[in-house]
Amino acid sequence: MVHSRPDPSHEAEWIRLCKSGEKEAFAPLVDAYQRRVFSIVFHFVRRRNDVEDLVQEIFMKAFAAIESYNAQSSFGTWLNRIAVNHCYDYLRRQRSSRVTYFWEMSEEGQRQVEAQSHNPADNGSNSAEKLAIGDLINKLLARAPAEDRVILTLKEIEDRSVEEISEIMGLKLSTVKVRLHRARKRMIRDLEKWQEGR
Amino acid sequence: MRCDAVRQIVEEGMNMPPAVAAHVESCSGCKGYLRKWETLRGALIALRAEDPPEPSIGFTTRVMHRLEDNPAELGQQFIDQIGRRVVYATLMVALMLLLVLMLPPSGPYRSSGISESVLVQAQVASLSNEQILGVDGADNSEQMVSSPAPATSDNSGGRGTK
Ligand SMILES: [Zn+2]
Repeated sequence: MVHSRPDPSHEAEWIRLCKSGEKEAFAPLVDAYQRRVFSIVFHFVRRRNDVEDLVQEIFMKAFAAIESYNAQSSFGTWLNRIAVNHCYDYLRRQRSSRVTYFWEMSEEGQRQVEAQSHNPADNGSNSAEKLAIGDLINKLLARAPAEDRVILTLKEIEDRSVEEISEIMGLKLSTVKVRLHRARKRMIRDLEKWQEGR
Repeated sequence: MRCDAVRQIVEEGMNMPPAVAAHVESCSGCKGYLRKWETLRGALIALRAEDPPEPSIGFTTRVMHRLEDNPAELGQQFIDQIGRRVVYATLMVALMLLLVLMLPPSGPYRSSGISESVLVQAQVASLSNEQILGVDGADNSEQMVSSPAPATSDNSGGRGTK
């Protein structure tokens, strides 16, 4: 299995062969990029059991669309875009079929999060606090609209710059900034709702 | 400086320009916003440390088998790529064309009886709805939806989108 980025000339040749209908040439591309796609998908969906199926579907989509790849961006970026769109569709479906409630959190977990939000610089001094805040953030993400979740994941978990997000999502820089701010505000409002409801 | 503009700057986690720092210092709302965002951001960043699942052995082979076995699935993927909306729009146009061709040409004669009285009722209902909307606006949308008037379709369409 190849883990690092493949030689660009090999990659270009595999892509050319795929475009001419030689499916076998797709195998080295799957080998080269599968770990990266697994990582992205896991960051978006956060459900280990669903990751492999989604990654398979993403590679199927990539092969079906390979004619449209025109080398304007790297193959990796193009594949990222397909992965992000696929995860977005998945999250939208998930959100409409599943609601996460704050009160699914234990009393102790709630207390830890409360302590943490009064002293964020502390950044979770013990493992129980870290677990509790991790639990809360997963719930906030699950409750967030798919659009917010995608952009926050790219920025804060995938650690992408605004420029990279704009390229992956095909949005203007200013639109990315506006959406990021909106997503953060909504998440803070959701945190406040949780704090008020206690 | 407006609070929203300040928040958009501070949430980036960069060094604050003096004017922004001064605002945050004197504004409890922005101070609270920053504190909450720092908590959330720290928690989001902590998620980076979680190891993603590894591809199971034979992952590439399974993808390749799926490519071989499911040309129909690939066709579906292609439709996904060109966009379902294009397909739906084409179907809608075809449906409308079909309706135009199937409907009888309208003339000066209408069948008498029930259908005519229903038409009059509908006109009366749509008139009263206009009056309701004129006075109370969207608050009466429930009545709009339940009324038999043909003018309801726009309203219910608007409620569908979230
Ligand atoms: Zn302020």
